[in-house]
Amino acid sequence: MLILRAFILALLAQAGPAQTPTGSIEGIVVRAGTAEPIVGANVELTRLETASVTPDASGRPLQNAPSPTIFRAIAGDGGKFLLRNLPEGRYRLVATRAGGSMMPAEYGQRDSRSRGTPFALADGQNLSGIRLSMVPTGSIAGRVWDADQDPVPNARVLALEPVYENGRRRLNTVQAVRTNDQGDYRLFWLPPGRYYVGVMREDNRAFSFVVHVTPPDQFGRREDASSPAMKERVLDDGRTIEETAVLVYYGGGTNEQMAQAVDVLPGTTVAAVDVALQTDVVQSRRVKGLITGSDGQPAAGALVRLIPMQTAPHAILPRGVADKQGAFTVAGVIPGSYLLVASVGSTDGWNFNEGLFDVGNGSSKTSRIEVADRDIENLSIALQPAMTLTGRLRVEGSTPANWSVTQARISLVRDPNLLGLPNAQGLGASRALQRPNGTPADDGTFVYAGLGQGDYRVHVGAIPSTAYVKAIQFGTVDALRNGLRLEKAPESPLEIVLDLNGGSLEGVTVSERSEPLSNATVVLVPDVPARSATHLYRTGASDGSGTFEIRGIAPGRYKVFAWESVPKDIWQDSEYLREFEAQGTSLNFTDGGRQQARVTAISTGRP
Amino acid sequence: MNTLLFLLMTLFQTTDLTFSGVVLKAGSEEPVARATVELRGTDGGDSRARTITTSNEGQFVFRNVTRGQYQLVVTRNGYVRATYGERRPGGPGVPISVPETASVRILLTPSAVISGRIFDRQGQPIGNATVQALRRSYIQGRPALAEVQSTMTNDLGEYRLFFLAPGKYYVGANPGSRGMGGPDGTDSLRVFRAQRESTRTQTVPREDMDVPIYFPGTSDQLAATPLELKPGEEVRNIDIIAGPVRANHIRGVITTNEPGQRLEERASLRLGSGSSTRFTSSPTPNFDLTGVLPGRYTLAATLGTMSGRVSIEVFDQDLNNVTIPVSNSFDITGRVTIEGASAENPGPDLKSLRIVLRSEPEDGTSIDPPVPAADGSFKLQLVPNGTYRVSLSPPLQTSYLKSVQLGNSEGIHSGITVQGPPADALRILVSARAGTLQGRVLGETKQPLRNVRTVLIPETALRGRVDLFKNVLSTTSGEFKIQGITPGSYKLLAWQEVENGAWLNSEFMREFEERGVPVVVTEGSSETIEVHAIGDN
Repeated sequence: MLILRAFILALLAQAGPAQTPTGSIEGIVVRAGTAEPIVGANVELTRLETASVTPDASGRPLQNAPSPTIFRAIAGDGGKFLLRNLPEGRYRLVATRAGGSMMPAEYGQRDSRSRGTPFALADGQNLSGIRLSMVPTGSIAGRVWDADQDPVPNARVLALEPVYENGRRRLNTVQAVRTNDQGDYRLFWLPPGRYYVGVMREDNRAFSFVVHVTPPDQFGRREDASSPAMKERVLDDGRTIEETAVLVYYGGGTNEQMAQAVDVLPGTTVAAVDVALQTDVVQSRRVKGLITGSDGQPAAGALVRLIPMQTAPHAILPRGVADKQGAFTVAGVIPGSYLLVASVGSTDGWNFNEGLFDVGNGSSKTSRIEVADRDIENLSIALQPAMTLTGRLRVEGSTPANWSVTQARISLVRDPNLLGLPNAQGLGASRALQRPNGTPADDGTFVYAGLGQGDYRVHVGAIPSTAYVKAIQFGTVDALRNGLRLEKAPESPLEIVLDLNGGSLEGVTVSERSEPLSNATVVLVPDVPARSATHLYRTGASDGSGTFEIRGIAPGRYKVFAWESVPKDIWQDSEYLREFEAQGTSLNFTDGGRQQARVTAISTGRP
Repeated sequence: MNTLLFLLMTLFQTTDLTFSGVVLKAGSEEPVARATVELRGTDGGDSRARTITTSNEGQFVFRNVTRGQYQLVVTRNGYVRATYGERRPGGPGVPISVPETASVRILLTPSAVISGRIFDRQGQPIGNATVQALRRSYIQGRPALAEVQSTMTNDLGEYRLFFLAPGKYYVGANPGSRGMGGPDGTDSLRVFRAQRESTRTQTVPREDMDVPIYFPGTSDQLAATPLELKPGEEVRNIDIIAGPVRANHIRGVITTNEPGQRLEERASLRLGSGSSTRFTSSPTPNFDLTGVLPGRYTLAATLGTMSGRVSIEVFDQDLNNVTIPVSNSFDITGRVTIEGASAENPGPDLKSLRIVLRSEPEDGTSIDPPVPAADGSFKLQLVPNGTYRVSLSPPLQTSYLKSVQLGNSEGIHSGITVQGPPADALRILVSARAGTLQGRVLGETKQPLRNVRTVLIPETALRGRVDLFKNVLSTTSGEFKIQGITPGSYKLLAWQEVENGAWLNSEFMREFEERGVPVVVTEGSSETIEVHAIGDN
């Protein structure tokens, strides 16, 4: 039923005002670097509402945010599109194509993977000559062999890319596919860029691997985990050992540092990215012990998970279940540091949205263990009931009309936030109050239930854009700087102070030739003693005329930087920032202070 | 004394037994190297699985084996998983007794491959489409296709379904990907979506639907063409043109003839196709159902205590002006009575039974199944007008359902009909004097056969009554016993290999009708009979 119209059709997603507006936007969609039109591309124009509230910890916009008005058209002959009857306003314009052969193209974009800029349309304005260039995606293909030169079927193959988290670089999964019976794989619809390839054998007796291919207009990051793929082997001396498969990188064995990069250019396939699995099995150990519940009785049915402290693109999560006597065995444990999490009687299970486990109103215990060259026996674990934390969010400064304290969302995020750790984020555990965890009442008080022991960071989301978190106090602990360690039921409440009167920075980004530069990334970096305080960083982007505004700045000394194009959060990596230190402009903010700056954008010559 | 006994037992248990074997390729009998052999204790003994790999000569040896029963499974990429004692590649096996059996020979059958590409109607490859290998199965006697394996296409539209046991397969393709998977227990995933996505989550309203298309190019499972896979074969170029199909509307109005009664503001609509039922809530009296594929349906509406239904057929266009007349539903009281109970067979426990009404034809009508009181009385609430089959759940084991009467009409065979408020009670009679049939399943050379599906099939006129069919598996010594048989004429058949429920299908039965052993079962009778298995040659 795909009808390609001879001319162009604009669909009004929502009824317009009484008098039909007369603005219009006209342009073409082409394949990047060519004049080849992309007939049938979907063109989507989104009218922006003013956003004055920051998203919550998971990046979700506010639930009660109005849904934006979207206008749509389909590119016709010659890739032409026309959107008519548009009211004045600020807009974003994006072209996408069904399937995944093309990256979405956005107006004002610097490269195919970054965002474009919003632009203004005046009442009755006819904007024409817009050109949206779509960049084709690429693919990586190869074969996986074993030590006997046999192809390895059903192996998990990951496309990995570097991301930056709390100033550290790590490889993250972009896509996961599996090899066929000939050992062949194909990672496809990849946004052009630099990748690493990881391969892992699967346990084909308990085979349940899910393939994740994300169309390029929905890209995100994902963390991936599986149960250990174990095998027994009889040694020459008759002893039987257990071996577990680990991730092997293209070009680098099991060492992430040695992994060889694969550069995917637009519209191309990098072939023969072959991986030999020779050193991918290591001897694994068992962890055994006894679990007692908070009542002192054997905790039959308790689930035990071992979560590696060392982050990896693919986590291997060994697990076991306690028997009637409370005894458990976890097999397939590769030497290393782990958090052992035992839990029972909880809402334990799969939380698909978060991919995490909740302790709920059950009990749990988290302890750190080191596994070296032998089995660990006779661990004794006593579960503790899930904890409830109460607190209060206090607001300083005048509250804007469209915001109240009840809209804020307080989240407790595990630190480090390892995949597999129980997390109470999605939990409506304060059921008596009929409110989800971390939702303040009118007086700012909130409850956070279903917490297990461990280290947490407190995040305050959905706050006005002028606001910053001034203090988080937990008893005598400065939880804003040092985080929160929960070991036993908390005796003191969590006191959070929000200052609505943060500093602001207005300015313009310019090129090296001092011309205003649109769509540059502006980053406000706290001065050296506070560089590790990630909550102090502020980012923004300049608009079509090169101007930008950053609000909600905590008092203190900062440096402002601007980049033409830069990977997200890489500025938190001190190594990276050192190179550009001299190009930052020093600024000092007092409470509510307003500053202005003209920032020359750094051109690194690469996206 | 105890210590001595313990020592003796320990000695006896840890006897240093050796168990060995050879793994060969079926047909050519070449040795298969690097096959994985798994030995797992099935009783007492050593329940931990031990795994070793075959040598270049296809040989394996397990040492220090404890006396006992074991299951032996051999796997190798490119071959069908083999279990010792299996009757067909991939079938169930039998345990091995060690040391009675000290050496075995395992034949591995090479697996087969289906490959091809999936295109859209414009001839462009479809990436990320789900492709399934399916085999024929039966649901309530109706043939259906059941998934054996699924995979996804790459950006070139290519797919490979591999490691398939030889046999007959169908291939289906669905352009809609299955997404990112679900709670499968071992896979764990956390997704951080890029913020840019939040501006794109609006979906364009669609008037078409992704549906599976079966090779060579039909959305009708029954019109699909099977592929016959031989051991080790790759069947190539199984290309399918898929893509969304037009989804139709069903529009119409709900009306009532009940004097003085007004329709409630919302109705629950049920669209049943025999194999699936869809529920929708709709305002009244006008309704508009979207996303309906061509086919025959029963459309039912429920509004409080009122309900009604119509049979419709949707062709490749919208169906307008459908009228669903609704009328009041009624409570029906009744009683279950047990006759012929004896000390030997007291009949079923009334407290553990439920009275189940199924609409005929099945359209998803749901009536709460009541549990009878100690005196057998029960009450069915809000039963809409219609015809219903009455059954008991769980199915009776040693008794049978003899009679189901509403007023003067007997509904045991064709069901009871409710039309207007029922003047009479529903009387259900259960008899404890059911027949029993036992015997042995024999092979070609009169040897007893284990694991054979033995099925008792009612006379042709009563084959609409699924509850009269009985089936059991023969034991290790080839014996079977079927209880709870309703008196009547039957045929007894035994199949070495049969899809579960295939015997309910008349098409399937035609081929085997003559092989059936006629049996007449009378009240309380107990017959002994021998039957030859179909497929032992």
